[in-house]
Amino acid sequence: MSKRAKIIVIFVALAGLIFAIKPYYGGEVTIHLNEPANFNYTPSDYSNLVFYSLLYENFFYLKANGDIVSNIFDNYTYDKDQRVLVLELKEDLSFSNGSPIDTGSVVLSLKLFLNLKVETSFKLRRIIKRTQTEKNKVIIHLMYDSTDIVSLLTAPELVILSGSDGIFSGMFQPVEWERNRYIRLAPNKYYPGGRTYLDGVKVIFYDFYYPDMFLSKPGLNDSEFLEFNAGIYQNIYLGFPQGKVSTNKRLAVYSLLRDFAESVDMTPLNVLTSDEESPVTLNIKSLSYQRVRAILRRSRIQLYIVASLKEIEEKLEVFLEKRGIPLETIYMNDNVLRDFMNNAPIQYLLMVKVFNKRIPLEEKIKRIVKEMSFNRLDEDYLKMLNELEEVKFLNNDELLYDHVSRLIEKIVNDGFLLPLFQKKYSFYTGKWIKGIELDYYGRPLFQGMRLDPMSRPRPKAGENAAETAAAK
Amino acid sequence: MKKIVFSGSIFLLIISFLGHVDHLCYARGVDELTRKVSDGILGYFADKTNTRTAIVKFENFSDLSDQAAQKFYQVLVSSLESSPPSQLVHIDLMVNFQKKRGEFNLNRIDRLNYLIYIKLIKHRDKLGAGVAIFSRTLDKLVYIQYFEENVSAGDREVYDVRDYGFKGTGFSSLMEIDADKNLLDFKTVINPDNAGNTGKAETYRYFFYYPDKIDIFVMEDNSFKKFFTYQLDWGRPYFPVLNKEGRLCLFYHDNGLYISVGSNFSPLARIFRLKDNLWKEIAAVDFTPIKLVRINQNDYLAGARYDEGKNFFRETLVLMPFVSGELDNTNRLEKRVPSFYSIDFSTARGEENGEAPLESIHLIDRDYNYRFLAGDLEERAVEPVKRGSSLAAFDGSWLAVSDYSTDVDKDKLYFYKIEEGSKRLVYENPIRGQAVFISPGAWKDRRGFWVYVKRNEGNREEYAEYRLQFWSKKNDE
Repeated sequence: MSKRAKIIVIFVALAGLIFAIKPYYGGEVTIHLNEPANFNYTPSDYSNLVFYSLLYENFFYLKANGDIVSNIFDNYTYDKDQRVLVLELKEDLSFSNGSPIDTGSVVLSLKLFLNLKVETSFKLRRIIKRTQTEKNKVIIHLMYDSTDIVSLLTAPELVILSGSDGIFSGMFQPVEWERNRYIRLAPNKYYPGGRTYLDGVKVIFYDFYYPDMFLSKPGLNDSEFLEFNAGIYQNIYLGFPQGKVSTNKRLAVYSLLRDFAESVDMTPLNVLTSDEESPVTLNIKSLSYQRVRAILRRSRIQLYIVASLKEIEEKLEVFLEKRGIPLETIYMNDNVLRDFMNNAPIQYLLMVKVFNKRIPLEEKIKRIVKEMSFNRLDEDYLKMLNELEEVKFLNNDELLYDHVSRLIEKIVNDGFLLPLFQKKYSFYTGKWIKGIELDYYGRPLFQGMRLDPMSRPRPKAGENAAETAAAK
Repeated sequence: MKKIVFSGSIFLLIISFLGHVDHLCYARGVDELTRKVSDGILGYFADKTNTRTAIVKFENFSDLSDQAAQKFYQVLVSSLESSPPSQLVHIDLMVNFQKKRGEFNLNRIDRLNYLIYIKLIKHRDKLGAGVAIFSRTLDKLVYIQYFEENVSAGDREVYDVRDYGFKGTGFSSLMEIDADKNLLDFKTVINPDNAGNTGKAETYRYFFYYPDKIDIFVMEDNSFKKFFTYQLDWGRPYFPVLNKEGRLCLFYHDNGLYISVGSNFSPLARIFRLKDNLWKEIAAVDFTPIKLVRINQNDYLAGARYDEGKNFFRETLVLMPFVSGELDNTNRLEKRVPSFYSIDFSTARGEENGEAPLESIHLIDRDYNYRFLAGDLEERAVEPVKRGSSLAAFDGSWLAVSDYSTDVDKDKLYFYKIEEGSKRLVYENPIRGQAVFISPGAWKDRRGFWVYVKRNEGNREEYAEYRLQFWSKKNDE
């Protein structure tokens, strides 16, 4: 076997669009997403993941067919014996303000990623020994041989960051933000992947009947739109990061939120991941309304909610008011949440996790433990996770499922997390938009997206009318 | 170079090729009228020498269709052009004919001695033609004559067939070579070492412009041999693009060869001077030079600026004075046009390198409309046609344009005659694949068009093939 495995990065093959009729540059598309708290990279739900993919460029993309592509690196080389991965940076790349994307930017971005509390960061922290730079090369030394090192570097959260606010590496940069209404994005002329065909993207947050693209439940069957189902679902959990909560209160808040979920037609979740794959179904008994009210009426509970769930704010307020339960809700951005928790206790936390059904069950459970247990991640969990890792390589499904089941049981019994409800998503785009594809993680890749000048979008007059109506 | 002469008899041949043999005898009416008009005009000039004339007004008030009237005009012009040059030089200035009127490029009217007006009318069952000749020297009308002829319905019908009967002939691909992907432009230039030694293979140097280099080849033993490579280092700011585009411009000036390269991935185009085999960068300009042209006895480097990162040019033509080998940015001229995909500047026939006056500008706008600007930089109305994104003009005589086609396997080249600022479609040829760019140039002893063709029959990028073809006219000398 060759000692040195050299792999050339597969580039996005868009040059094929050269014809006597050239690809059309221009036009703006609208996409309906949840409003982000700010432009700092903090993806916490599917909508956010799509939004930030417009502003920040990934180290690598993992395409749906398994190809790994990069707009940042010319190629990469992995030396199995030396346990060294060399990333060769393309020349003359820039951030949106024209400042160079250099090897320092790559190292900084990797460092920031390793500090994140996400599963891939945990994994990479154990693998990466140190990094060094040499001309246009970033050299990553590994603790041990890991042939899937580049696959790990395709994590959606691993993006090129400048370290400063308001500087972006992605296809677009924000130029206008009207709170609760829209954010307008303009192309980043220095985008490493090549200037996009679109002249702009308007991300809208209000209900607008026909944006050009939106996320919604699968199976809408609208003749004007194409559905891309990447198997994405988003689970909402009630977490208890401090662990000092009585069972009564815990169940009371849980029951209240389950009631709320049903009132707004959300799908109840009785497993930690999804019904289709989980070997264990949880049977958590809800308390009656009278009981809930009795427990919570004078409890002064503060429920912290991640900002990506802000869409439920209005409905939840109405619901609580109707029920006469004085639950204080505090919405917090993901990036301040952890700092806040270091200084003040958070007892009740409503949080979101996005999963792709293609990711194996055990990986999802590991993510839940590592990313949502906070300071409850003790030796027992670490031991169980290590055992799970070992069982994984035995190729024994029965044993694997047994381990997963035991882990789920412990999570529920320890009471740091209760599953509440689930939302499934497809990505819909108008048929007048061409060149769309989704990556492995279900994110639409906007780089090749373009309007077809032969079939223009629907008349804009209607859009304006709808906007006006929505604004009112 | 031989001219194409559409005499009456050749025209009849066209008709027979098109299967209109039944109408052969009826075509005589219009043909006879054309002969009468031609004889009348030539008769007036019979005792004159060194006269330059052109039809500058042509109106059709008869019941002939626009197409038939245009054909009448073409046959008449062919007849006038066949007269001995010592006696009469007739120049075709028509750029378009529609709605019963001809559109003429009158930018160079000062070079004419006589102007001819022609009006077709219907007189009972007859077709009539009024002819007037105006002398610019005497400043008055010097000839007025009316001719008429019986024209049957069949005759009109014959004249109404589309007039591009031989469009499959004329230009053809004389050679084809494999080419690399990412070729942005290709140009030929007379080898400075062999200047004047025309007709030999090594007369020319062949410049291949890629995003990162210029490869220069010479022709040896019937094949290309690499002569030199110049590496291009663009530096910052650099705009990554999905589709790289660029133009190479070459011209001689003051015994030096000037080479400019512009692109859609760098805001600055770079200009080099090659003298005694030394490359010296002399300037960087904020637009992509296309050609050196002469306007009012002044040389200008003409071009336009790519919209950064995109595949088209912005709405402004730039003309930067080029004096004694230096560019004068303070006196640059700018002309607003619609944003466009491709452009070429046509100068007088047989003269390149900017020493000949600008005659016309041809461009394909972003809606794929062909647009025509005369040498005075004013746009002239032309027949609205959709064409592909590539065009080029050479020797002030021919313009090649690709087709408005989205089929990855099929494209077409349209060849227009553009002498003296006119524009008339003469030939069209299908090509296999898609024309990515067209460039004027030479191969061996012939002049014509180089066409960079992409073939992607499976519509899969990894199987795409690239070819460089040379198209020239079979009967050119």
